[in-house]
Amino acid sequence: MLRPEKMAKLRIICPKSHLKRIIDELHCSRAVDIIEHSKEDSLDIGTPFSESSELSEVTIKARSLISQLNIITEKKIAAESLDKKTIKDTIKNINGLYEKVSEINSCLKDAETELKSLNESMVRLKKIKSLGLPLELYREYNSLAYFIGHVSDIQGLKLDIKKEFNSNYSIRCAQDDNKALVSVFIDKRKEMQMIKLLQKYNYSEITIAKEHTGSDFKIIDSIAKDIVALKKRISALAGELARLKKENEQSLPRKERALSIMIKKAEAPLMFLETKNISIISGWVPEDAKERLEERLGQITNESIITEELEIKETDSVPVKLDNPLPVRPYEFLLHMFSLPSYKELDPSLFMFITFPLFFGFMLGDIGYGIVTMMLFFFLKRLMPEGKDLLNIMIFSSISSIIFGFVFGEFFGFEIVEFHAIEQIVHESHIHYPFIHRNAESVLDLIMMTIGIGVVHVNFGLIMGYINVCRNKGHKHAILEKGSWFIIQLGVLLVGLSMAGFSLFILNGLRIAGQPLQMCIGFAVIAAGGVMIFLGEGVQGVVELPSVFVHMGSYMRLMAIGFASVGLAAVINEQTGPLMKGGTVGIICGITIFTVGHIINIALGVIGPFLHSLRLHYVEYFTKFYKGGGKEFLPFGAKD
Amino acid sequence: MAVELSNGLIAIGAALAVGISAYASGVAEKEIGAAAVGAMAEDEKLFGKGLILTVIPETLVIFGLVIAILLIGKMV
Repeated sequence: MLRPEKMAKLRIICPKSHLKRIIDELHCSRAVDIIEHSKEDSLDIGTPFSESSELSEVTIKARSLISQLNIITEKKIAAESLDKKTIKDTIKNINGLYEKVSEINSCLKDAETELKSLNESMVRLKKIKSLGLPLELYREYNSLAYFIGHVSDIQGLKLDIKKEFNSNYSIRCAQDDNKALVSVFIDKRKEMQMIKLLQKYNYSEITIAKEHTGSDFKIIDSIAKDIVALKKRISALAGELARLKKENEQSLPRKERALSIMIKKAEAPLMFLETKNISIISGWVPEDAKERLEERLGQITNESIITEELEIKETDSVPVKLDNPLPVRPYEFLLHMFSLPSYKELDPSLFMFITFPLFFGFMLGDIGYGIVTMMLFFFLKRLMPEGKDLLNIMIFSSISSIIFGFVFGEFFGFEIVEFHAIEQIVHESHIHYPFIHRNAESVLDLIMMTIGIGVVHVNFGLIMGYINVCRNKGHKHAILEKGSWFIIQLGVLLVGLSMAGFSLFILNGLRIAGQPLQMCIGFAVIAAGGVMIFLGEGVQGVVELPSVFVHMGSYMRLMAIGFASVGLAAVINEQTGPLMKGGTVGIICGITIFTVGHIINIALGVIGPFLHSLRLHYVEYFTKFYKGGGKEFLPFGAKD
Repeated sequence: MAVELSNGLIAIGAALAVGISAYASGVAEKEIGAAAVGAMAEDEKLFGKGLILTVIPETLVIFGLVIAILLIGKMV
């Protein structure tokens, strides 16, 4: 619980004939984090199974189909179970479907392109028709040249043409949207001259396709008919695609999933070492699962494999699998967000399970706020199951808020002692309630209390640090690196007490060179601690000497943030009180201010305490013992 | 009159304690926060470390607030 699960480094040596069965078992058991081998002098890395290339091809086709058919896949989808016979059918099905869909899609694309070009022709022909000349006139002549297209200024063009060509021309014009449409017939010898003139008026030509002929524009009707037919064809093709989508929507993603898993298994030998006849698999297995795995592997291979446990070397990066009871597990999320503990470090999840809600509740101690946030997080948990870990943490924190609300006697910023019924109970039972009163008079008490919490928490971190160093480097290092901090604290305590006028009874009244002996001893102890830190952690440790006291002082935020929240709530309530006596308008305003104000305060009250509680752990607590950098235990098949 | 003046000065002192320390925290966190977000954009796993580095200067304003609360306690 306090440490990551114990791991064993296992090596499995097996004949190649059993490799498939072993890979299946490893995938199914999800117990082995396989160590990827690189090529060695004497041994080569394994080769993937022969079916892997065919499987890859089909999987790519399946993925392409999913995207072509616009199938929306869920993140977690169960893989279809495929055996030797069904896999052949599946591959055949996917290949067939892929060809079909590709063909439909290519037909659809062609049809759409044709439709587009027909629509354009239609528009063009309609424009030409608006000029009022038969279509057949626009053809090749021996002596005539014609131009048809848009120009920017029709009046100017007419004048210029008249000036330049006198009367040897024929011009027709029409208005087309915002542009002028024009057709000009002219002597072929003057064609170049005409082109130059037209260019002056930003002439853009309309081309007439050769097949568009006829005097009475019947071609327009025939094109319209073609368009209708094409549209029908497109909708039929789209319908066919929709039908295929509906048919395969459920099964295709599941097949793709199954195929991906098969590829992973087929390519698994790339992680192993092999000789001509045997394969060597190395991996990390949780100590608990080791025996069962060995037994299973023995069974499926008729005891024809060798498994051996290897010694864990200093240089090995052992994967980390946290091992906590169910209620503590959400707090592993906070470690994942920071960095997993390394294999040899203590796992602080259990302590965070206790202290995180404690700090949160201390800051946001209010029965009303606690109930509101708890209901909110329960609701969010139902809405977003994927954020379950974080929301569970917040629900625990809200419960702690409610408990601290009773301790502080606060309900939406009101003091519950002021309610008549509770006042009576308190009066009759002669208890001192609220147990802790958050008001101006108790500031000093609260400061002392929160610093006290800081001293305990930071020292707890130091003790965990001592254990970590002790395990890794031995007692001597642990005493120098972490023990020194305790000694310095002792020195500071002696000096502090002496300054405040308290002295331990033995040292009472004793003085050296006019200074109290206790203070001198205190300074000597601090100096000794400083030297130890220098020996243990070097200059860096000495530079950070004051930090441990700053960190303890930092816990004053528990009080400060609480006060800020209480202050804001009190202001809202004070504003609301008088308004409620001022008639209907007053009541409406009062309720609005009360609701909006408290919603804002709750929002701040969730974000602030969450971040500060997290910070107290990450900065003040973790820095005393936690290095992190652990690699997560990801067994073969875990993601499938 | 003399009492009121001292109260006023204490209030100004308290306000300065919170205000200036909050400003200082803000200036420090601005730079760290920008760099932390940059690092997170590269690698999302750096969120925890980024958060820690960003909130380190925040202690300043907490101490400022504590001083202010202590000062206000001295009002007559």
